[in-house]
Amino acid sequence: MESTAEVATSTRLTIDVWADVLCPWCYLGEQRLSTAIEQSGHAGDIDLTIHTFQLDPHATTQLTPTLEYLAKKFGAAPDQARAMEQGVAEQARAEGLAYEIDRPVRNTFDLLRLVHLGTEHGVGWEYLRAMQAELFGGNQRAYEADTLIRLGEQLGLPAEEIRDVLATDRYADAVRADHDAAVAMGARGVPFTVLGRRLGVPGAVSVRQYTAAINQAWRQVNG
Amino acid sequence: MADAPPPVPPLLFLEGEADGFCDAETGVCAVPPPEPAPDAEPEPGLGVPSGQSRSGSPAAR
Repeated sequence: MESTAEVATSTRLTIDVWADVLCPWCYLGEQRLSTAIEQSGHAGDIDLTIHTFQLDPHATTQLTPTLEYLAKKFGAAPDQARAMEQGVAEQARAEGLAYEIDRPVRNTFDLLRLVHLGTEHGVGWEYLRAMQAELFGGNQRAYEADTLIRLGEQLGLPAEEIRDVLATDRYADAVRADHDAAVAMGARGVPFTVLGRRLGVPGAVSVRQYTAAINQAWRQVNG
Repeated sequence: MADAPPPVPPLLFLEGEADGFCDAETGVCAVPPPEPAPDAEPEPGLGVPSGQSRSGSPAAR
């Protein structure tokens, strides 16, 4: 006879993160969020989903050094651009993350389409993080197909599928849909995190704040 | 005719300031201003104030 004893079960907590590959604060925020999830005691009950958000759809497909890109885009003086970058670099290194200021910038649309391929295979978050590790680690070939194929294959993605995405406009609609969904919720940039479909965290916050958000959202979904 | 999807409730936002944020409109990735020395005035033009408004937009900077 089956036991009729009720087992207390908890509702899973969804965490949705919008990010772009070249966004330094996404790179930091994802690391801090990962740490907060690990420390939360709920890691096994959290469904983490990455969504794409292209920060600069008008960025050229030609590689541009970061400081030159910042100078052109914002009119920042080279010293000011370097100071801005060094501020982020210090925080990244404090998280144990590599952070190369002299890295290339390029349009990320193709990379974001590949993130959706990763998501279809269950490794979207990992693929985005791997791309960021290459880029912020200073690999000047971070945007090249051979790098993207190598990273994808390490996560179990078929190389031919990656090539197919790069050769077509596959997942273009998915990138735009993700962007529109974030904007509809009030996002004005990234990272943008939504916990339990209810609690928004715009920007990268500390591990302590992410932990507080997880706890708050956990209480909301589990009473 | 299909039912309209249920309205999505507006998000609540976490209390507190963010350390940084990349603004899609301006492209600026805001960083906290450098810590001023105890006896120094903040240096204008260096760094960008961080933080977000509770509406999901970056704080004024």
